[in-house]
Amino acid sequence: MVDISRLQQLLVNDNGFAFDPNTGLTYNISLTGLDVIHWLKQGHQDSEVVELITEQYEVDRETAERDYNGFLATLHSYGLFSAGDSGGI
Amino acid sequence: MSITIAVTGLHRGENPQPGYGVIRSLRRHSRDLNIIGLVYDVLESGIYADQGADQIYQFPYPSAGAATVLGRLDYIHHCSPIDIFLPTLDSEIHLFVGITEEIQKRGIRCMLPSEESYQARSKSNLGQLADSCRMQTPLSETVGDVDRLVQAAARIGYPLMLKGQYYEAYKVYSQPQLVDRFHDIVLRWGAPVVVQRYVEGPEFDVVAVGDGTGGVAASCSIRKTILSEKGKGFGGITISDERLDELAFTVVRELKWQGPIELEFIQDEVTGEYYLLEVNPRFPAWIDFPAACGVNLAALVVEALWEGQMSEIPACVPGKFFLRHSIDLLCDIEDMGTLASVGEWTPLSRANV
Repeated sequence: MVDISRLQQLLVNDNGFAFDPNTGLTYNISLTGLDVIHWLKQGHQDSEVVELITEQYEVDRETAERDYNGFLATLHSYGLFSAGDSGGI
Repeated sequence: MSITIAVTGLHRGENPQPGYGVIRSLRRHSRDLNIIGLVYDVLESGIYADQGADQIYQFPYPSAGAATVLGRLDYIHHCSPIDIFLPTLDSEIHLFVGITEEIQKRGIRCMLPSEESYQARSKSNLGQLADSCRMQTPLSETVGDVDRLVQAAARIGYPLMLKGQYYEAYKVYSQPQLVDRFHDIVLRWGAPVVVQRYVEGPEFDVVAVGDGTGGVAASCSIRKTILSEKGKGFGGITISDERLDELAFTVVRELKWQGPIELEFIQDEVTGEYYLLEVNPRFPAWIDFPAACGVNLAALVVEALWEGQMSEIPACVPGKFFLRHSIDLLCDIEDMGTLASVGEWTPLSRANV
């Protein structure tokens, strides 16, 4: 089960500066990452996010999957995303 | 009606004290206050700072003993009747806990913990307290001489933290450094000294006011973002972490703490586990920061002492941060001379002239 509760709490401005009110940590997020967080917060599933990346950034599915999984791993390492058994593609 | 409040701990140097921050917090809350600064040293910087105390009195060190301290308090109380007394320093709180009734008999109100609560949070009893609260604290040993120091360090392993009973904490990497730092601390603050396992990770602070029955009237939690060489938080950001708050509130509940309290935690960067590092029986030096954010804990204590009730105030909004900013104060030798020779001084800018 994917848990995005911490991601939902993340305060992000339009320029990609993010503050985690739980830990006090701040991050600089790329514009692509911003889009991914936005889509995840909207409730999109993994396959839908990958689809949106391929459309928005005109990359092939394989590239989109690799970048998406890498980004999820980064979010996970900061405790912002808990993938459980089914996170990522 | 103006309330007269006596506050200690006005120095804001390298090892800043909470008193000046307490005064600023009180002034944010009410302009109708007469603040008396009780100082141990004429070089306490807050004596000369804007928005500081209205009157300054020199005060004897706690080591002078209860009779001397009460004698000086009587003199000051005679000159400027004190309604509320807010001590702010680790090194003096124990003395005042022991003479709380004597202070109150004089018609001076104060909010201090019981002797039992005070002792239960001491550095030497921290392990027991953490066990009672079912939380972690780094393995620690209290030692009074070099032989036991070296033995404790061998058991705990390097690097480790060496802490004075009131102040000073050093990260120590080797036995020669350990012995040097031990002597430094003992010379300054006396024995015993605490040897504590070093935990790598970010540090967090929770400041709260306990109501004496186990409840927390208000609190503010921060992540320390800048640490001085001595481990002091020179920068911090407010956070909202239910897990951290619950740990802090559990300690307050267990101690049935009455009055200001600061709880220091470190989060193991590998496991994410919080470790209780210290429980301090007073406000931290950054106490005016939450007041500026609308969580005025010093004013809450005064309100409780003056009106007999403690209103609950919401926690700080996460995302506010402070940075400690040093400036140079312009002072006149005549002012310091008056204070040094007469033992009291009224800053001209704050005198009723």
